[in-house]
Amino acid sequence: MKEFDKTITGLPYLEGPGYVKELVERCSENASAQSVRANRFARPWIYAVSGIAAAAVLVCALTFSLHRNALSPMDAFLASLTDTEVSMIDELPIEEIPEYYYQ
Amino acid sequence: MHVSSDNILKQVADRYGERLYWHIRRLVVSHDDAEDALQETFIKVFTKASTFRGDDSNLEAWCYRIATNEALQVLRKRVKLFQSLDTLGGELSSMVAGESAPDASRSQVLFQQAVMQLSTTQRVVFNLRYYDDLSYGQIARITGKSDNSLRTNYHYAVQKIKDYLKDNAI
Repeated sequence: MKEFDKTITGLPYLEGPGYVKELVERCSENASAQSVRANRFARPWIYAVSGIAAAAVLVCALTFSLHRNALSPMDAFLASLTDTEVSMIDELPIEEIPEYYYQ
Repeated sequence: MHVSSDNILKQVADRYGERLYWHIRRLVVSHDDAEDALQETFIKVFTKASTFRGDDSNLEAWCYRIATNEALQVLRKRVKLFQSLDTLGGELSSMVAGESAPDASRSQVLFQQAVMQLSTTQRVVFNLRYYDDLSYGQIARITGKSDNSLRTNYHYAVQKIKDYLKDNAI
């Protein structure tokens, strides 16, 4: 038993059953197409982002390694100096800094 | 049994599509918003179909739950940050008049305006129970509220609508 008279509880809106049926079909087709498209686009994006991230890590690792190698003779040289010798280097004119002798 | 997302979406659209549209429409009032929310509901059904476990009655409750959330999402866009959805009553009431057909009866418009005066929970419960004829058990699965709380909300909703109609002389 409903609490209200059926004549007043009907919706006052314009859209009829035929229109709503078509709308439901359209929304369903759009939803299916959109989801498939989103899925199709998502996969290459995942591959692309993963690839870029992997490449970035590789480049960083290589750069760091090359950088370390490039500095190695200088590091070795500096490590062989005493504190006094290091402070003396500070006083050398630029052309006398040992790093430049190596070039 | 494995059912594809396409199959589930087709089942949902065929069996519940129109009912879901009207459920959303009763909550958001605007036809355009209802169409958007229905489409979002179908997209969610499609993308989450693989996670759905259960029988037909669960499928119905699951769809209504998604549709209700999408409708409330639409309403949330209409309120300011930290403002309650319950403050939308006046705005929704005016929208009912704007969305009504030119030949709609005054009593039907007034009835919907009375429904818009309810709190969001009361409105959801009232619509699901009164219009969609769902049991309290089904509504509990959709809203996550207890049976007792639903009965109380429905009771107050009916009372408030009666009072509103009385005050506005129907």
